[in-house]
Amino acid sequence: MSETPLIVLDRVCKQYGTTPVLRDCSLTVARGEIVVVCGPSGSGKSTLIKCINGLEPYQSGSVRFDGEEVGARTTDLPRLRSRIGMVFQSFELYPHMTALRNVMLAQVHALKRPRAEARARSLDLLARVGLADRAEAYPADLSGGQQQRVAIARALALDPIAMLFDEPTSALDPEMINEVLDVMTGLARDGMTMVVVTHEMGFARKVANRVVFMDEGRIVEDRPSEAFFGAPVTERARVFLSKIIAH
Amino acid sequence: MHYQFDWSQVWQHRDLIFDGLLVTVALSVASLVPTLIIGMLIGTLGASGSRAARTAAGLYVEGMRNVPLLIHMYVWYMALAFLRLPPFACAVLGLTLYSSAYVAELVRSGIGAVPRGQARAAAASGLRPWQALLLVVYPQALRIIAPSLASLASQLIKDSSLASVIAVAELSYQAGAIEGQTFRTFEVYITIAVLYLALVLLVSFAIDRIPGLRDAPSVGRIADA
Ligand SMILES: Nc1ncnc2c1ncn2[C@@H]1O[C@H](COP(=O)(O)OP(=O)(O)O)[C@@H](O)[C@H]1O
Ligand SMILES: [Mg+2]
Repeated sequence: MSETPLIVLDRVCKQYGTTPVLRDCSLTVARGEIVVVCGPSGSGKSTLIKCINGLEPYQSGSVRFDGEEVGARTTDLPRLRSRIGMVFQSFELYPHMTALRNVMLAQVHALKRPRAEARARSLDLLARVGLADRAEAYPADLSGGQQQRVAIARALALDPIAMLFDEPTSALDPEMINEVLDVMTGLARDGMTMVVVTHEMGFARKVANRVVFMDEGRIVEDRPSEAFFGAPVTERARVFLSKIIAH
Repeated sequence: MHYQFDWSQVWQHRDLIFDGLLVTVALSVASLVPTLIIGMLIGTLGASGSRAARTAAGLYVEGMRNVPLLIHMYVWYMALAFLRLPPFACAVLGLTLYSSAYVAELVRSGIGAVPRGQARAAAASGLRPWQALLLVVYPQALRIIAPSLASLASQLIKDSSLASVIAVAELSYQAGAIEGQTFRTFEVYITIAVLYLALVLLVSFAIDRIPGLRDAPSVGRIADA
């Protein structure tokens, strides 16, 4: 069982109305692997990773997570999602709860962990992302970087076997990007399976095993990161890379 | 114009006024509870992803709130005559159907004002849709609509006066009765005006004290990306 890849997308197609958003996307992520997904805005990156935990339905093809077909009617999606952590560009912390309660919520209500245990686990995780002293703060009183670190702690609280990141640093001021990337790098070191949509090419170069490049709903390149950064095969990827590295 | 105020007549009928006040409170409470529950349900349907649910909710809202409350009172009183319901029950029904349409619209807009990403984040963490609604969406939506909800509650108390047309012996009905006997129009209506005012202020005061609603942290946040 543990030999099978953790995430397998096979010729996934999705359209909104008549507009195709994903076209025959196939992707395999092994356990412990770190895959960075990049590409121009609107190329379908967010849609692709949301297919992995069933947040986006798709019209054809198949998505398997740990051997389970995500799109099957019989799949218990909430249960499956509680094994996958997800981090969003806009943090999506619950504004009416403290940092601690944000991290506790799904542990108590999805995993049915006893409150005391969830609380202890949350405090550990907040310490791990460097926010032990901000447990009682509300999201509105935290900086963007702190909010995103709470969001990462909240995702980790499920003890997920994979983490999905959708542009986790795009909404952050430059001086806060590194505090979030450092937490993610630490996770990668600990062997977490990660799919990361990001334009932080420094992070991709340092941490990713593979880089996937998307354009107009297609996966146009999927290669080991050294190879990708060494010389992208496609013209689109070359142009894209030269643009974002120039920044 | 020279009018001699005479409050003694009102004082003589204080027991009637007090009875009326009790009926008004009972009518308001008995209507407010189902109004909030039905309004919450219909409003949630109206904000749901299902087109059929939204249409059904829309029909309910338009059907109920576009009929004047006075007509609601008469219609339910007549239509349910064969059931021999007490007028009080008919008034509760009319008030509930009418007011719940307004609550539904409010709840729908409140849910709509909570960024979609919130429910998505809750779903991504393995919460079931009803848990996401109860734990993440409702608390934020309620904070947003709390002030308008409070004024709807006040509105309902004032609207309950229309139950007098189907002979529910609430405050306005008793006022009419006392006025008919004493001709002390000003004194009687000033008295019940003050009583309505007191009730409404009491309700706003109470709603203001609900923990978490007033001193809630700001739910304003960056736009859903
Ligand atoms: N709810 C939607 N309705 C219609 N089109 C959508 C919707 N969500 C996304 N799209 C379209 O799908 C395409 C891919 O979007 P997305 O996956 O968010 O791209 P990316 O994350 O790479 O910027 C875009 O062209 C976008 O306009
Ligand atoms: Mg995106």
